[in-house]
Amino acid sequence: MNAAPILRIENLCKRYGDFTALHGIDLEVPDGEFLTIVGPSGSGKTTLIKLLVGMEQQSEGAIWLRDERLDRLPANRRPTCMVFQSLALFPHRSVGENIEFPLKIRGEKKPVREQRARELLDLLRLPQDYYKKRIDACSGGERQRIALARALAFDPEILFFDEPLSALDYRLRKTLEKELKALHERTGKTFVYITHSLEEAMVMSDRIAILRNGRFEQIGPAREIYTRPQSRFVARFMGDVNLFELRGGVDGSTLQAQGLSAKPDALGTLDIVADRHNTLVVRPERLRFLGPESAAEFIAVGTIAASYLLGSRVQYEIDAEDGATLVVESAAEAVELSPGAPVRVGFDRSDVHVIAERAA
Amino acid sequence: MPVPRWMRVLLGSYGVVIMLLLYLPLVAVFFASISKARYLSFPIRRYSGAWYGEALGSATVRDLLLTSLLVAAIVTVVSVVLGYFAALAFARYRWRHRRLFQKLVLLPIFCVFRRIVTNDSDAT
Amino acid sequence: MSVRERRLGAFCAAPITLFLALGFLAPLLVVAAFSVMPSRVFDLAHVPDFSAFVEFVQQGYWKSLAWSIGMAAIATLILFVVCWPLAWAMVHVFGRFTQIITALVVVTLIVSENIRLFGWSLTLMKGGMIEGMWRSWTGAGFDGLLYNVPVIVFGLVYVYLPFMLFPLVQGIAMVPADAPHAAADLGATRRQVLLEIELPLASPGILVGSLLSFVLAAGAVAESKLLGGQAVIVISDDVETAFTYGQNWPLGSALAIVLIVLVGSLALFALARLDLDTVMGRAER
Repeated sequence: MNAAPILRIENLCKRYGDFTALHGIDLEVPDGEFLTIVGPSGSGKTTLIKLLVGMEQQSEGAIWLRDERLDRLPANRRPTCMVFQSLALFPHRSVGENIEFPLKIRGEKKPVREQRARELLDLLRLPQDYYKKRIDACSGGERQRIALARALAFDPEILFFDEPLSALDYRLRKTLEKELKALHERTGKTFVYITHSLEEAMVMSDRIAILRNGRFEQIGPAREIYTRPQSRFVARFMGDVNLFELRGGVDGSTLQAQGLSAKPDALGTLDIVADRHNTLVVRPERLRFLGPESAAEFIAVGTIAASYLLGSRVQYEIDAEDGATLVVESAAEAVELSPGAPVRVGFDRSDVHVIAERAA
Repeated sequence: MPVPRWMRVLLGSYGVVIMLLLYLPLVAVFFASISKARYLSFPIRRYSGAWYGEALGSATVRDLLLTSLLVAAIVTVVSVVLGYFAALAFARYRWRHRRLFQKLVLLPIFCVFRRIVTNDSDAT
Repeated sequence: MSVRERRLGAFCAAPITLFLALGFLAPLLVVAAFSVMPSRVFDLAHVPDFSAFVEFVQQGYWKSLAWSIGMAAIATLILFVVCWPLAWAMVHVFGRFTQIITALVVVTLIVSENIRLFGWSLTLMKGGMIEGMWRSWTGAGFDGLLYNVPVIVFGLVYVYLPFMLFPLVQGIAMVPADAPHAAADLGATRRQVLLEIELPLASPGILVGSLLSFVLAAGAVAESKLLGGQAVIVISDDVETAFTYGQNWPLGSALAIVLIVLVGSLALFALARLDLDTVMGRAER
């Protein structure tokens, strides 16, 4: 694999009058990676993708494709391709004509175009007799694949995706997530994917970049972001989580964590950073229910507020003594607790990740 | 591809020019109405509001105006009623001759020869 | 398709069908009947013959028809070229101003066509707004811009502009917003986006606008009289003359029928290919 990144974003800023959508973001994408940019609405991800494909011009900064300035090229000359949220298939053309479109406008002859279109039909696992089919006679999932085939037709360097699955129902989305990942492996191309759904990102991506208010909060593989978030925002964004904020001084012995009672040395063993706002992050599946004799390095006490069945697991919401809500996940058969039941939950130092943020 | 600024300005100017041209003849008519002379020629030598006085004071003009407004009102009501039902017939209900109906009803719009089709109503 | 729906549908369609049958179809049939009557009669109690149609060919009335059709065709083409950029801008650029422009255009329709054409006459004639002002500023005058074929075509373009503009706006609005962006992203130049995507997808609007403008312009007569000073005679002019001064109803009817058949076939052909459901964006269930 090529060592130099295929896509490099340098200090990219975009301002609309007084409003800054992107605050000087930087990003490097290695060749062949599946990168997903995730963020809530308003985070700037739509702006970012528009800058990447050429639908807007940046206020400051540069975008490099290998060693060429991508942002200096007009949209139709960039060797990249975008799959739109609406798919943007051409309703007045057949499936085959849609797929061939990038080749047709580049002047390729009919036999060459047809052969390539049929190859792509195979690659995307569409039947060959779809070649002459009308677009409005195709199902949602089929249209997704046609849009993908069309995007791949002229062999782009990078494929961009603007939330293509968000309008689909759950089953179809799940199927297509896996298919997209398989497609990525088969073609070896670089995929840059934009979504607000963390689930999609986790299933498909090599790396995830979390965008918030025009800045990247964290970039890294899914596993790393999940287990070692670098901010409370990222921790919460990755899913349900228990956060224990630390109060107190530098001296370990007087540190308090709200709602927790800790064994005397337990807090000192954690990687707490002085002069920072420290938060303990414990995932719901790492909290366990303690029987009357069981012990743990950190313990919290409360009552069950509610329980939710998540298929094979159950999620419990617990009203803790200090007013916080804790979330515990366990296997469905492991324990059965009803609302109002008093419980003790605990975890050890190995279950904890510490976030150290600038005091804000 | 967003629309570049120069193109927006160009299109905006184009729109303005067309609007001006659209209203130009009305401007000419307006000038004719305030020119003192009986037959208009530019540049206008003397202005006068007398014609308006004559028009507004004339009983004939008032009658004609009233008739026009009355006819317009009646035609509007009848058209809306007829049109509404016709639109319902096409847009809301699915019935056997719907598509044929649509094409037939549209046809007269394209065959409105104001002076031709209605010209010999006295012959009927 | 329930029975109740079928009945309601037919019931709702009845008023306008009746109205059109009486107000449109009946006169049309009367005219058609008169067209095959012998020359200069005023009733239908005669043996049909085609003398009026023969006269159409022999007496050179076909020239008027040719002028009408020719000028209408050119006017329609000019209208398309003129209105497309404006319609495109109204959909994609002007935002709120689109409503203002629509209102302004509609308001001009309140003023009768004759008065508006008369206004152009005042503007373009010798001593009119253009020539008179020019002469008073520069001392040199010219003959005025009226009484020729180009000014008739100009008049047609002016009068029928709304009939091309609004259908075009509709048509362009029907183009899915992302399709041109996707085409550009896939590598299409501005010209290719226009030819491959925007024009084909706007074609229902283009068709309706062109048809409307053409048909109306073909039957128009005020432009050639007021602006053209009858530099050429159009077919509607001949029809009028035949019915009034000429006292020849069969001839007038025949001329009218020729025009109606010609233009009506064009309209039928175009309407057969146009599906209002598609235009309104609904699939037929």
